[in-house]
Amino acid sequence: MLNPDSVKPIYVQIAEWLETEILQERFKADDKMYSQYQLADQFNINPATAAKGLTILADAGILYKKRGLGMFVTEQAADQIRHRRINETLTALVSEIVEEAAHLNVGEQELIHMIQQEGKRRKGAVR
Amino acid sequence: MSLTNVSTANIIKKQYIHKMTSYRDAWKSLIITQLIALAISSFSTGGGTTSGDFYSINVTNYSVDVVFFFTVFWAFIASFLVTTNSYTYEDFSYVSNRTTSAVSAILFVASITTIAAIFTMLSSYFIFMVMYLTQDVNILYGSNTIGDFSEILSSFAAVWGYLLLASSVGYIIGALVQISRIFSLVIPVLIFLPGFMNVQVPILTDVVTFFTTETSVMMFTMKVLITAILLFMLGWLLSAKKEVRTW
Amino acid sequence: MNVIECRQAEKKYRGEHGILHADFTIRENTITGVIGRNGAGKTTLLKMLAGYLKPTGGEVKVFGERPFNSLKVSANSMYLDEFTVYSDSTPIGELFQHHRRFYPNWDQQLAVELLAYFSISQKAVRGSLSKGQRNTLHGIIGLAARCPLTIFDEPTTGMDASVRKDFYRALLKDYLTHPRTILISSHHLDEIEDLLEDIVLIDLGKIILHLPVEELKEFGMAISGPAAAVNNWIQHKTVIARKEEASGMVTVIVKNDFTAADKATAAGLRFSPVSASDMSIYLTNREKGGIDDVFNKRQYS
Repeated sequence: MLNPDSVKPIYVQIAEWLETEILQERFKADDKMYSQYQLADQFNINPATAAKGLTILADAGILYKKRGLGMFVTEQAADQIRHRRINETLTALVSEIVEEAAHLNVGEQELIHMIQQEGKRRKGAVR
Repeated sequence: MSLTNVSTANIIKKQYIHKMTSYRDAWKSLIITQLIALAISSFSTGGGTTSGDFYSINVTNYSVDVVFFFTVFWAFIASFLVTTNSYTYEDFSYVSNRTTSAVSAILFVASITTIAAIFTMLSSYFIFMVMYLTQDVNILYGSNTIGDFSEILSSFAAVWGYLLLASSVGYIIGALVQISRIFSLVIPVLIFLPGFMNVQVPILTDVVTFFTTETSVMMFTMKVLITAILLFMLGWLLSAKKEVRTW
Repeated sequence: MNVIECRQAEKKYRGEHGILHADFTIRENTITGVIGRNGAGKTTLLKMLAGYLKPTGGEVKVFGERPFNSLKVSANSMYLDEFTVYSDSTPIGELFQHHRRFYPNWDQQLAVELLAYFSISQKAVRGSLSKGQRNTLHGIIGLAARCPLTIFDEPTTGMDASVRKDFYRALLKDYLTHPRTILISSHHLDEIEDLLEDIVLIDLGKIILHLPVEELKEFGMAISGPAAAVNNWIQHKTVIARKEEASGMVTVIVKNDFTAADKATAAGLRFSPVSASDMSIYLTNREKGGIDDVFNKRQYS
């Protein structure tokens, strides 16, 4: 689940993994999040690194702290993650695709067609 | 994690137990030394035959002097070895400082010396018994073996005293050698050279007469104890600045 | 709370650098990696902390005391390496009993179970173990003793890859349930970096960096491109290492203290992150450049 060779620091990878867990509804609003120790054990990393991942999410308003009890998922966590990923991650990917398509002289219509084909292929794979 | 509080006395006790139980080589070598010495002793060291018309007396002397001298040598070597790195460094693998390491080593040396003295005393009884059971003899007389309690006590004090002296000398020489290898050359030269060159070194002879000419057991024991304590303490002071595992 | 405080600590040997001007503190309950090449001074530093060696200058304090000759430091700390002295004729089961007597936190069950897991018999005498097994034993002792300060000096020398992994996993798990201050020295950072919170980088007896390991991962950037463009861009920047390639391309490692605006001016250059392990190697390289330079000089001379 973590990629040790990745460019991204471990704590960023932890934060992203936890976001995905929330998006996939394994954690709902007001659920208790994994502790830094559980994360450290699960990913075989130093608990301080795991805590840094949790802090990123707390700073972003995705988790909130209850004194002595740990971290919990906020009401708006899933929406917030979705919005941010659309605005940042997806937008960046689209810009990269459009740029690469321009390099290769692939037209807009052709690009949309490719996206539709990929969608169909995926649906087929699911069935 | 909360810190452990320790007292010097408590650590000395633990190190002493550790040494008594894990210094197998010291015990093994004591037993081997005594067995070899006993084997040598069981050959007679002298005697004679007197006969008349109707009788013949066969006198054979057995002596445990060999056991005594071997054990003195053992006490010297064992104490010397206790000061070497392979023993002192082990203390620091557990809980130790220079004081507890030295004091527990001294207590250990004193203890094994005492036990060695008891063994040496028993060996004369042992020879006595073996002769009684194996030889066809009528009269047995032992110079140190049969006697009243005070006689046994005084001979024990003498044996123990010389063993303790040997071990304290072994300890101080060991401590000196640990400080500088030069001592492993200088000390034997100082001790043996006068003998080779047939020179009388006044101090050396004085030291020998100081102990050997003492006729009072009490005084002898006191002299030995004070000398041994001084030598042990000097050895302890010498080790107070020693670093551990400089390799 | 700080467990270790060093101010200008120094250990000089005859003609050797040992340790020079070491200034650092170690917080309680952290795992710190002490990283450097062989002979950099790691062992000297760690033995000073354990009270084995006496500093020749400056001040070393552990638990608020000078460790040399301190019974308190000895009772609460443990230094283990390949050469830790135990009697070779003592069976391991008995070694455990001795530790149990000296260390109040000793976990006998953990020691016995780990020993069994690593397939070493309690009846075996230490002298009969291989180098890797001996280090495994010392590792087990270091974990089971649960000393408030535990120092592992190159703990995995001679161990199989799978044993190394298991040992570090055991260390992390035991640390999670019994937090304590742990120092691990190694010349392979990649093997332990995920386990660490902080890192102390040593070279030629000097501490050149002390920072969280995650920050070391972001400490530098590799910039590659045509020599002219690279040279132009790196003016006024801190260059850590430089590698020339045959094709006229250059890769330069620079300190990651430039701004986004700076980066925007670097048209045509490729930026890539440098792993903590590579960074530690670049930072401790004697000369800027690397092994390639040795061969390059050879070709042209």
